[in-house]
Amino acid sequence: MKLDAAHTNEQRDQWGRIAALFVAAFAVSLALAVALHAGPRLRGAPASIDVPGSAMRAVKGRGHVDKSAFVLDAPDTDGMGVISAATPTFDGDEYTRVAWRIESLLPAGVELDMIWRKRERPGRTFTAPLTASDGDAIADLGGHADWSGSIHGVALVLRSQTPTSIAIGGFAARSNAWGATLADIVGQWFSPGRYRGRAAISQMSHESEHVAPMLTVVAGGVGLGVAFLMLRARRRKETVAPWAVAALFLAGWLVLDLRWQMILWRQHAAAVAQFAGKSPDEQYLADADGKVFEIARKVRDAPRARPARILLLTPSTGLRTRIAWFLYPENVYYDSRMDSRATVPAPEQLRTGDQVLLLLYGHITWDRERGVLAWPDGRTRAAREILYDGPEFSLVEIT
Amino acid sequence: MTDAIGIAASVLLPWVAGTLVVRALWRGAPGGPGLLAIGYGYLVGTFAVTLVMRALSYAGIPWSLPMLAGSLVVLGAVAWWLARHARAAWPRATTLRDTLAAEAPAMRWLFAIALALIVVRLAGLGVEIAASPLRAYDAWAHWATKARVWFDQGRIMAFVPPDVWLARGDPALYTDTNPGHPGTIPLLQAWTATFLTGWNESLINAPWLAIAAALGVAFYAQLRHAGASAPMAMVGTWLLMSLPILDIHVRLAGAADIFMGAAYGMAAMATWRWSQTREAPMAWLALIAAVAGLQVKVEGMLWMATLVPGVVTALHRRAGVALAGAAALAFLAYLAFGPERTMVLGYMLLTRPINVLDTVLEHVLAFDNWHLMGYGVIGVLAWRRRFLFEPRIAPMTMTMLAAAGLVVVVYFFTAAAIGVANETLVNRFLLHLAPPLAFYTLFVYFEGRGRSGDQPSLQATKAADA
Repeated sequence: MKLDAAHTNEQRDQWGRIAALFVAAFAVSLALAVALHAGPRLRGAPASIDVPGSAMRAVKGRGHVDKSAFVLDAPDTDGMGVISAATPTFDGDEYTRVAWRIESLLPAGVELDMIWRKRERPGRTFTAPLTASDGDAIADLGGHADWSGSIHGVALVLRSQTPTSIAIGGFAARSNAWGATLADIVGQWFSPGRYRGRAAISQMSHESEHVAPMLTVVAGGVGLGVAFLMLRARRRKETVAPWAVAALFLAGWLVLDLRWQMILWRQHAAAVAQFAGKSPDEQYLADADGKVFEIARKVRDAPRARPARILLLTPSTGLRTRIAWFLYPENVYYDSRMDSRATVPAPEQLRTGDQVLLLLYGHITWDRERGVLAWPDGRTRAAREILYDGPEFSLVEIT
Repeated sequence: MTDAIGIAASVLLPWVAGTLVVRALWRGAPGGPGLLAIGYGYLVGTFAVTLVMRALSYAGIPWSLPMLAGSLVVLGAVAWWLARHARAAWPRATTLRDTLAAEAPAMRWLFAIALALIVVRLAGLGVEIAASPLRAYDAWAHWATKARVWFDQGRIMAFVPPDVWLARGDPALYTDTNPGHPGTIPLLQAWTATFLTGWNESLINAPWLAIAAALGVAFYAQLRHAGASAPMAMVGTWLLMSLPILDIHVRLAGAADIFMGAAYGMAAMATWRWSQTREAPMAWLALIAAVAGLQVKVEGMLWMATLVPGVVTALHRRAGVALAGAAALAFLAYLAFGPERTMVLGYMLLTRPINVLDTVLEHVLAFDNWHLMGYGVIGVLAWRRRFLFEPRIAPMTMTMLAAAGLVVVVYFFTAAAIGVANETLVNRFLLHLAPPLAFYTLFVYFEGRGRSGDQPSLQATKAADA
């Protein structure tokens, strides 16, 4: 019995030592991550220079303040928009991580840059590209040759070939002092981030915005722990116990998984709050693209013959694909290829009784006066109007 | 309440019937698989469901609940009758309790914690699935479009490319974003909807939770048969079930990738088990899982082809190595002399690589999509490198080498590289590989801990466990 108890105690001690080793190795790995991204100061004051969207203005393009955000309604005629953030002059060497909080969906094909000026070199404007997948536009300017000295005149530059609008919630320049960097690293791991619990995570690519993604720090901790075991075993001329390596690995995995569970449950809660107990229509309306469903519902509920073939003609691939989904199980036609490659149906391909939705569509138009669908080359096809809401939206039936 | 009963029936009916079918495979053996049958049962049962639906549709008989449910009941009854003489080896709580009693307290705790983490995860995923409509793009653009139409029509309707739809003008033809996808996944959704009071965009996704649970059970059972202790097998199962991408594909239900991964994983594990024990039923089980996988996605053909080098190696080691070498040489010859672009199984094969290494490394080793799996695989394989081509492991290694080769070709030498670079494909394709790769890595780890080279047969393992 005493032997059993001694064995159990020994086991407990072994597990305890491995746990302590993991904690120490993780702490060292985290410290290394901070050291790699921090400046020379231990503490920064303030930890962040923040400018709310409401304090911004459009230097180029049209925009307005909407509550706490600034909305750029449209870029200038050359496709460029510039939004200025009224920051105080600050030391670029101490505030190297910048972020523009984007509160709207970032349209495809939009390029974002940041520009600024320096007191030391008046009259010159400097620029840096921003990383923006579909969230905050960020940059770590620690290594940028021109991000130093007294910074002022910070602005966001947007370039787009198509008309687009963007809502900016604010600008932040974060201190790179050790304390602030540590707070940023750990805070990002547990922050709901741009998702704010509403949109569903489909992979963890948003961690590209993290100063030091958690996986790399945990892996570093496990690696340091294993390296310590190997060095110690070598010094003692022993072999490394596989169970000890496995235990370190599992500890790291558990830490990551507990964080992942937290994210998952946050998402579960958000999904339940967003969708549970609602009818299908209410669920669609509650989704991020509820406005698309409103368009589809007009078509779905229109006074029209059923069953019928419905042709969805709209220049956006995403729009016609989504509207089609809302109309199944009816026989819906849409071309899912890229917009430029999508087929324009010919008049002879339309059958009597086919219903055609023209939504923001330019290749075929509905001529109300003549009661025909008209092609640019002069061909026509007689039709009957079912719904009409201006030249941008019409639903007709081929007669 | 009616829907709750319906959803339970839609999951349990194929699961029970499939479990009995797997048991029937071992009808001539002195003892049959317990947990293994349950784990593989759902995949086998749902595959049978889709075959029944295809057959009825082909015969012009409209789907109905009595017809579909009755078919599965008959299948289950026949399987039960065939397996009636096999001595049952169903998992019993007492057996597990005895097994755990022999373990150290820390191991028992490990078992309990891993099991709890899996259960909590599945519970949360179940809640979200039950509450949410289809949200993943692939789910509502590629897959459920067919399910919605087929359920409405009570039979399979043809889906064609938009050009064909326009040209033929046939009102019986439909179109969607990917009309070429196999019908298995939409058939499963239509099957589930048949048990409900009507089309329900949330509840039709119950199979996604069920296949995740089934994969976990099959994984645990195969690890146990491979010689892992109960705590180690449960921890291994937790490692698999906790992979964020796997969880995401359950909660954003509706796409086929987790089914592809489950089918490939189950086929690979059964193939490898067969390569060690040469049990005919295990070979049949592998074959059924592989055929089921072929019907899930077009890529199923590619993944299942990676099993061939393993099988050949198991039968004749040198032939296996020669086959792998010939395949590698053929690819190198294509790179050197082949046309710049060639279509192969839906992929545009290129002779000049597209470099997406940064994206792959980021998603595997920097972002928390796979927890520490990337590091674990590299570490274990480096540690056990001298052992990977030993007779017992060589078939598995050859399969995984072929799979790794497939990933390299698809990611770097096909137009799919664009999907990898823009992050839409990078994790999805790897999900297919994750279950067998996790099993392989764990097996190599366990085998490296002093187990003898003589792998006991299934029965011997079960006897040792008892």
